[in-house]
This record gives sequence, C-alpha cells and structure tokens, in this order.
Amino acid sequence: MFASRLVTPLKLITLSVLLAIMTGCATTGGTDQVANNDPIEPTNRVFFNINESLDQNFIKPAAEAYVTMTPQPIRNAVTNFFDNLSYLNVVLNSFLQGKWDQGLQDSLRFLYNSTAGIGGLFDVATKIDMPKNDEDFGQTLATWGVDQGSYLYLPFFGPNTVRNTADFVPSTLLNPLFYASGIVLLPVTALNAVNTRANLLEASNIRDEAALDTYTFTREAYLQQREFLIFDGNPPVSQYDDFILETEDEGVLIIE
Amino acid sequence: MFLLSNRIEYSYGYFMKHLFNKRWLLIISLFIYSSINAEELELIAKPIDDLHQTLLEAMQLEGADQYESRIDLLTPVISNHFYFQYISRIVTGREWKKLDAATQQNFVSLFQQLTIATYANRFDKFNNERFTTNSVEELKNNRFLVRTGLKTVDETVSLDYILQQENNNWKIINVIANGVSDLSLKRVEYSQIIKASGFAQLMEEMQTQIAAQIQ
Repeated sequence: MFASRLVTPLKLITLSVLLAIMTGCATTGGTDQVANNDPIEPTNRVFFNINESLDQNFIKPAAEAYVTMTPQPIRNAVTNFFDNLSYLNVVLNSFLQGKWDQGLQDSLRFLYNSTAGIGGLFDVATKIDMPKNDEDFGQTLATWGVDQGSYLYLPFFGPNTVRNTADFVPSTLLNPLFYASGIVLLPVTALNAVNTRANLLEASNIRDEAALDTYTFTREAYLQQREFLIFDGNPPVSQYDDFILETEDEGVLIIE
Repeated sequence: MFLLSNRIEYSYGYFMKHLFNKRWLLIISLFIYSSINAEELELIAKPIDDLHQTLLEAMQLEGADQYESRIDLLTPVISNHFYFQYISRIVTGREWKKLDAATQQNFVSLFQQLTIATYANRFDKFNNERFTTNSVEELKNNRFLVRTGLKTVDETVSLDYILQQENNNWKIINVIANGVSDLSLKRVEYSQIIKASGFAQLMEEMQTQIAAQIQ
C-alpha cells in the first residue's frame, strides 16, 4: 500500500508540473517541426542532468548488478510479466486508433499470456503469431490529429512530449499494479524499474558511444522514434527527405 | 474463428514469402512503382547488398582483439559506398561554406574514419543475424530509399538507406535505423556543438570518439 501511495502521488505531482509547463508552452510548440520543438531547453537540460546523474550513480549500477546476478530466462520472465501487466493500455489504444483486428488480437494476447503464460511470465502468445504491439495514448492522440507540442524532459520519466504526457492517465489506471496494495508492492515497483533499466543498458551504451551531445542526441532520437511508432514503423518517406531538400535550398549542397 | 483466419493469413504470407526469392520480389515491386529499369534497380541496391555482406563477415571476426581486422575489412566497402563529401556538407549545415578547402577535406576524412570505426565497434559479434532487402522507393531529386531489415534472434530492426548518385555511382547518404535518421540526428547535434563551442571543438570531439571506439 505504501508503494502504491508513493508511486501515485509521484505521478500526480509530475502530472501537475507538466500541466503547469504545458500551459506555458502549448502555444509555442504546436507542430511536429524539428527546428523549434524544444522551447524550454534550459529547464529540460537541468532535469536531464539530474536524471543522468541519478542514473550513472545509482540506477545503472543497480541494473548492471541485476544483470550479473540474474539469469537471462528469469529476466525474460520478469520483462514478460510487467509487459503483460501494462498491456491493457495497448489494447485500449489499438481500439481507440480504430485498429479493430489488432485490438481484438491484443485482447486475446493479454488473456492468453495471463492464463497459459502463467500470469504473463511467459510470452506464449508471440509463439502462436500474436505479436506484441506498441501503442499508447500519445500515439492515439497523434492519429486523432493532436499536435505533438513541445519536447519535455521529465524528472524520473525522461524524454517526453506534451502530447505524450496524456498517456500517464490510461497507462496508470489500466495497470493492475495501480490497484494492488501490500508490502510487496515496493520491491515489485523497484524490480520493474531496475529490470526496465537493464533492458535499456545496451541502447544507452550505444547512445553514450554515439553521442557527442547526449541531451541533443536523446531528444532527436526520441522524437524520431515516436514518429516511427505513430506510423507503425512506416512513416512517410518525405520525413527523411525534406530536411535534405531544405539543406539544398540553403545552397550548401552545390558541389563545385 | 479469428485465430483460424489469422493462421490462414500468416500461412498464406509464409507461402508467398517463399514462393519468390527476395531478389525477384524486389524487381517486380520496382517495376510496379518505378519507371527505372531492372538493371538500374540492381545497381541502386548493390551498395546495400555489399555493405550487408561485409557486415556479416565483419561480425564473424568477433571480439575486441579483432577490431583492426574488422576495420581492414570494412574500410574499402564503406569508403566506396558512402557519399562522404555530400554527407559532410549536410551534417555541418551552413558552417560548411565558411571552412577552407583543407578543413573541409579534413572533416570529410574524419567523418569517414568515424563511420568505419562505429561500424567496426557495433558489428563485433555474430549470432545468426541476417539482412533482408524489402523494397526500393523513388524520392525527389533522383534519390532512392532502400528499405531493409536486420533480423536478430529477438527482433527485426528496420534499416532504411537513402542513396543518390556521385559520378554515376549510387552511394549511401543516410541510414535510418528504426525510424531514427543518422543524418538528421548528426546535423542537429553537430550544429549544437558548433554553435556552443565552435567547429574546431566538434572535430576534436569526433577524434576523441574515434579513439573511444578502439578501446
């Protein structure tokens, strides 16, 4: 109970902070343009540095220790368990985006993994051609035509956009852990956090190797990745071509 | 019923997938979508095929102690198939015109080294990965998008390439991994560094980055 009371106010506080920020920047963000998508960059950078410091000093070492001590099959089971708990949000958003067949399949996937997969510990649904989908309310709002708004880097939660923060509500309310209580909830929440970070170790190491400016790199990669998800892995090709055309218009690309 | 129809759909997909080999599917799709002839389309996709084949070979030279061998293997292929002069102009933006010819050439060379070092560092172990070429789409200004995938044990990573011609040879100007465009990401990141610390600092940081890949 303590943990759920801890987690819930944390999310509510974050939501309140977000709403305050949103009222300040909703009018300046507006579109999916890359050029002017980070009007509160100084604030974002402060939160980014705090998060990075916490991560480097506590969360990443904990995740690395967890990987060392925990066999891969157990980590897979932990990942499957938490993925399954959060999957009702995917189900809802598949339907909200009008993907009826996918929504039905996502429902069956949740039921099948929850039962035959022993509470979601095993992803048996993928083995019978019911693959995991990635949907959330941010993507749903995008398909409904809501603008992305400004980029936000949130304390604890990391990269986000104004539009995507709306996902906090359904993803929290539809996760059975939100309604759970008891002393076990705190270690369960901690396990979820450490396991999630462990799954991102390779990606974050690649980022650290590839990035010269980690803040900018994280922002651009996040925003592009979100577009990729919104278009279900098939974004319009103009997205990749337009900025080259803009560069050509600037006259930079005239080869003498 | 849903499950049954789904199974049929997947089985049909499986059958169709193996009925034609991928090269034929590619050529047929290209005939449908483009006025370019099959021979030209083969030429457009060739740099990607070469790169993927070499990456698979590099991945089998596993471990840090074979880093130099991977560099030796990848250098000619990456040098030939990427249009580094053009890429350098894009990632440096308006700064490019302010640079003298020698600095421009130093930057092109540095960017090329960084690209090769990054590939040699990332593709350092083999676990039965395989590449698939899925389609080719025509873009504006005589550029083409080649859509491919890297299949690993756990997932399929979408790898798309944008190509354009340099002296009648098709060359890669951008790699897009799961929707993240390397070119646009570097352009924004580099412009940030140039703005904050200057061009010399950018080149210094790139050199540090190359050194870090070797370790």
